[in-house]
Amino acid sequence: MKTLYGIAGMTLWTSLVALVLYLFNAHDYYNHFGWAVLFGFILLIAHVVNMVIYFNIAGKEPYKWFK
Amino acid sequence: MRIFSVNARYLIVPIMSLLTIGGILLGDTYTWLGVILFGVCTVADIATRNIHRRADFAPDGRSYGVKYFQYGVMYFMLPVFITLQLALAWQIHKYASSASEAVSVMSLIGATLSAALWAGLGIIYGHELSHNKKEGFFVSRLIMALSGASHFTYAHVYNHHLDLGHEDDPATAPRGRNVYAHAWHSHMGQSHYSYDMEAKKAKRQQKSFINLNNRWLVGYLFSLPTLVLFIWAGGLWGIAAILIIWGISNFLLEALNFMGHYGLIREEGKPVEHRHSWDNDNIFTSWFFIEIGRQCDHHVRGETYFWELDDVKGPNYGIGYFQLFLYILVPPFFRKFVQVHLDHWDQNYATEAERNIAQEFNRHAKLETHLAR
Repeated sequence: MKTLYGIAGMTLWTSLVALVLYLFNAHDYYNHFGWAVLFGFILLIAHVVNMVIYFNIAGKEPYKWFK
Repeated sequence: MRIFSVNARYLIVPIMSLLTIGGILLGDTYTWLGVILFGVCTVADIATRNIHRRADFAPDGRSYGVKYFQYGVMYFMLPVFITLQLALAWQIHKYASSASEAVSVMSLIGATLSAALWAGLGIIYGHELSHNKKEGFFVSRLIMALSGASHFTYAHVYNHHLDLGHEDDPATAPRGRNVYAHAWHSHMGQSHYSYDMEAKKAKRQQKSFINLNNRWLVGYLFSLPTLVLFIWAGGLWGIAAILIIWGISNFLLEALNFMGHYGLIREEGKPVEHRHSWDNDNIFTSWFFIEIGRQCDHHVRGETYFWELDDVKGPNYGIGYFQLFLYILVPPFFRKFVQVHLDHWDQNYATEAERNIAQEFNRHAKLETHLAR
């Protein structure tokens, strides 16, 4: 169950980042190299934060063999 | 001649990776070449499932493997996999900038799937080099970063190899789990291990978690060029492509972990033995996967060169990875197939303590064992 909560947390965070990028019209600027670097960095941070969100919500429970 | 044949037989993946790149660059239906080659390999693996060979040594015990050649090939695979991504990015750029006139959606799908499958197979080099203590370890990190999985290199050596067959190792699939769930748990678990390792180190050194010596964070930073490339090449199309590449390549990695240790058990604190891994060592799997299928020997002699790994009469599925991969994609079928092997393992390989844990599994997962009948 904690796995699902973790995935839900990741989904919420990813949606928030996607919404902010959309509101800033990121999709119109991706082909400028400088903007591409910035968007890449933002997405990488979003990914790293996603992992931390999952680790904190799910904890060690998903890896236990007998729950 | 013997030296040539022993070394040349491990060139299947490098040659096919180059052909896949050529197909993507040619465009049109050629972009599907990587997918077709994957299918051809599956057929070859099934056709040779009954051919098993020992490692080749000269009569005086010397290995025929040429270390500098094999390492040269493994290092060469880093620019090959970078070129694979560049070739795909170029096709995506053509599609995104000329609104589908130059490149069809079908050829773009073919290029993406081809790149994803062969990027996933690149993991065999990332794995092999992770056991090298020198520059090979760093090259392994870079190869894995192309698939967004640089954390693997540390987790594989310090977590998987030390905690094998126990719940502390997320890469060991417990009985009853399917490959899809395992891919998620194993990927997240290994990254979690690296994250915890760096968090403890930062605390011990009284540093902030965010610092340039944090190998978990730096590992993800190694993936930044790939992300930038695909965003720059095609915006949302590029992001979709990289999600598919990372998804498929990491699934293939975790499928290998799944096949290598499914259902095997080690009592905590006891040494890792041959019986804690499954061998897949038919001739095609051995040559294609640079002997990664000799897991029983590899886990006991982790720093042994792959061309020296041998059949140690450990647990063996008797078929190759490609064939087994098809089985695990259909969990009910795989469960029936593997139960016979697990029962054999419980009876012939497991210690009393391991057998007790296996019985607990059987009660928990309600597995229908042949032993119980």
